[in-house]
Amino acid sequence: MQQRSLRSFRSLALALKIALVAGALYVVVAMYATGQVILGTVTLAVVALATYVFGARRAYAARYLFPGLFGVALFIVLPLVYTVWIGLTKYSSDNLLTFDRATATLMSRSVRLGEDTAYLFTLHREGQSLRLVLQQEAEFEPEESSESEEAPEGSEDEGSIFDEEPDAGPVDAGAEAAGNSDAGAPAAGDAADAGPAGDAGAPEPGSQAPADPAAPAAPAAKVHARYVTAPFRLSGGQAGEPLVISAAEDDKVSLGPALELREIVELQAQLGKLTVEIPGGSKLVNTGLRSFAAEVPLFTAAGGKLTDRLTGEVYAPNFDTGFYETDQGKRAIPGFRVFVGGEHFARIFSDPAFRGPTLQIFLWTVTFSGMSVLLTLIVGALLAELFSWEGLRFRTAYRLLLFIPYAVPSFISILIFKGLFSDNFGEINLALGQLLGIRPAWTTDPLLAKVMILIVNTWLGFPYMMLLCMGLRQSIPKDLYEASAIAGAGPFTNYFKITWPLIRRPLLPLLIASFAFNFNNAVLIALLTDGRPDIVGTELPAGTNDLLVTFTWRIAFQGATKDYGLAAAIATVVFVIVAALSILNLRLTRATTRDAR
Amino acid sequence: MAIVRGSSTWWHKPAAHGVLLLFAFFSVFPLLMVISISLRPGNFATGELIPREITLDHWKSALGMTIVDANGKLVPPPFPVLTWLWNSIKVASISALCILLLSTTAAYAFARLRFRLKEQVLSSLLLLQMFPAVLTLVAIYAVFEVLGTYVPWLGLDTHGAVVLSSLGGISLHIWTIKGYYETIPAEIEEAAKVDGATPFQAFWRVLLPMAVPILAVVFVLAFIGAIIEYPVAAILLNSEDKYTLAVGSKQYLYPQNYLWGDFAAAALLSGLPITAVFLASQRYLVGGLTAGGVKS
Repeated sequence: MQQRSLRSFRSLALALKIALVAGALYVVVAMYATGQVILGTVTLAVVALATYVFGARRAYAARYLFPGLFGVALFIVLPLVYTVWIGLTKYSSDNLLTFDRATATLMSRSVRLGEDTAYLFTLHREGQSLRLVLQQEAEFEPEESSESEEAPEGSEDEGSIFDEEPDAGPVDAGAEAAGNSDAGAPAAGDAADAGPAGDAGAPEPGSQAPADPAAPAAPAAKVHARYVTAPFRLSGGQAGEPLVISAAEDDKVSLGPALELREIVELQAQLGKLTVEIPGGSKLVNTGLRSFAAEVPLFTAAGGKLTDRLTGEVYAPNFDTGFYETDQGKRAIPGFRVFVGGEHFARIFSDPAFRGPTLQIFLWTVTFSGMSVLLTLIVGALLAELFSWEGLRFRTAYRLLLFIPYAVPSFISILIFKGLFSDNFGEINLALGQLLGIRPAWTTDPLLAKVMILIVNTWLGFPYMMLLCMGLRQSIPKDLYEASAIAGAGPFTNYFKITWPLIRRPLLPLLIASFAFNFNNAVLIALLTDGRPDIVGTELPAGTNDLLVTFTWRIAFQGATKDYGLAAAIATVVFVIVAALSILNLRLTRATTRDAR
Repeated sequence: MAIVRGSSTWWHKPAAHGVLLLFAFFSVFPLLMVISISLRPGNFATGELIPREITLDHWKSALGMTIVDANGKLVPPPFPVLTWLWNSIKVASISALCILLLSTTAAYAFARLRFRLKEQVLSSLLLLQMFPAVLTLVAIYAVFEVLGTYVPWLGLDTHGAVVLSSLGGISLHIWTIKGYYETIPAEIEEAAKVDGATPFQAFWRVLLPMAVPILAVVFVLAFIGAIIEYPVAAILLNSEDKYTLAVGSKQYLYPQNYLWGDFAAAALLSGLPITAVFLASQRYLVGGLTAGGVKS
């Protein structure tokens, strides 16, 4: 009976394993399908390893190790390695996307062609719905164009990604023929007209139209084309969804009464969200109170280069700077991520504009960590020494009170201090003002801010040091103190001749660990001062009491340009420092344990 | 017990009491201030350290109640403190549970099984533990940005991402649990194996029940660690109702919107339970920390 239930349990477990592996493989396939090759490969490797570990008898110990070590690899090692990698790439808010996605984004930029390709429209009521009728006219009245110039609202950026706004007049005229015909046409057709347009600078009205051999039977050729849409409803309000409808050539349909201009004005916000597809693939959008016009891609691609339809400039990808650039160095935004090797590191260590603040921040980080360890150690050791005095009364009560800073969650106590130390509203300045008549500027004076940070960190950290010193002192044989008492030694002699020499060595690795902790004590700085007051006149956001860690944080997540690459490079430098400290620590720990044996 | 006492002059005792009293005062002072501030009307220092007039408005606000101000106007609570507290507890419990799951088994392998490179792996765990997550914020952000496109509940601005990123803290806990396992005699498990238990049964039925105290300690440590985590949560979360307490509390003290009194009440309300958990488990925590100490 038991045998059978065991067997069914085994087969159930097997089925479960197979299901898990199948599910994982499905995810891997999905990753490959969406083009994330590296991610897919890594996942595949992990799945294979997991299958081996949990399937093979030889890897028995690994079964227990696997979840833990997998977690370590995934959550500690992977972010570390990835940080180093980001530190070697140009990756910021300007160079955010991968090359493919940046190219796709640029290719999806569209530009609206002017009145010459425009259709006049009328809206006709049909019950609750509307019908849109588009009519192309050969001629335009002058007031038409002035009206439509101010009109485009809620529309896409029309070439505004560049410094110089392409002016409406001659360009629009030139793009006439290209306009409607190219909208849906393949890039090959566009490539042909890239050449002459590039030479001309701004395309001339005459030159472009014949230079477009691939133009299909364009609607532009039919001067009096008329399109009618099926009845549709405009969604109400400003927040309507974008709506795409198609129009067909239709002369027979009987139309309801046309809307008056006044009614169209009321509907303009909704009309702005409307896109009309006409035969030939052109997409028309509302450009004014009377007109719809075609939108075409701004760039045409050929041989990996992009040509601006309006200015004729050719942008080639530059894999050093991470931008599509013209020969003159004009850049198309967005850029893309590129591998730049040691560029960020060279900048950190040699760029004078950057070295100054970095050095200043580094020195403060070291000072802060050192002073924090020293101050907490002095206070903690003093209190531990007092507690070891058995003749003292109320020791338990004192200990409970002194333990409070350790027990309150640090983010709460730090914020409490932020409020208490506030220049104008804080209780500390209130008390100091009443007692001594001074109101120190804790948050605006760089030196006082540092003093405040050290006071708060000592408050937060001394109970830990106190606990350590008390623990270590208990292991010192009592007869040593008896002997010194017989010799008539006082408390100071006791401490500096017996206690300190004996606790110094086991304490040292713990002090280094504390130093390393404070070196990266981002929570304290982020919650207490945010690094402010800032260093004046720097390119990057840098605070007088920023630590290296919060500095990287600000570079990456605050300020105008979020420079992930640079931040990761600084983080890599911090890794090296932390690693050196850790190895030193490990050595000292080993030395201590060896001596203890 | 020292039988011979050291020489002690007349001023030693008063001096010792003086120093202890001074530091005890400094330790408690901020908390007393916050209690007073939370009961004081208004959000600014009024020139007195002990409030003459007592109001519960800040506490009501912190509990999510709408209050009536001096002009008879209804003031809704500025922030959803209880939502933040719940978010924090949720994130912290799940991540503590996951940390426990991952580290107990690995610690078992390190304590009982024999395999190659054991010492090296253990040392590197200790080394890796020195690199806090805050150093890899950029990478964490980038990873979750990509991950979110495949698994929406693990993307940016989700609690899943915060839980997952907090699992980096397991290496220290592996050491702690391993240290405790080693204090349990291996003979008990061997006896179970003689009676026909598989290695997994020996681990699951024999060793784990004996290790419950250390598991509780690690759970509480991981829980508190996740509650007080600020940098990663601050980067990953960006909508107000998703904030954890640590991220949300900062919102009270922006210079342009300085809600000192409301903060004081919210801090006490949310900080007291955590402090209570910590103090209650403190006795075990200290023992647990030394158990996982330098023991190889």
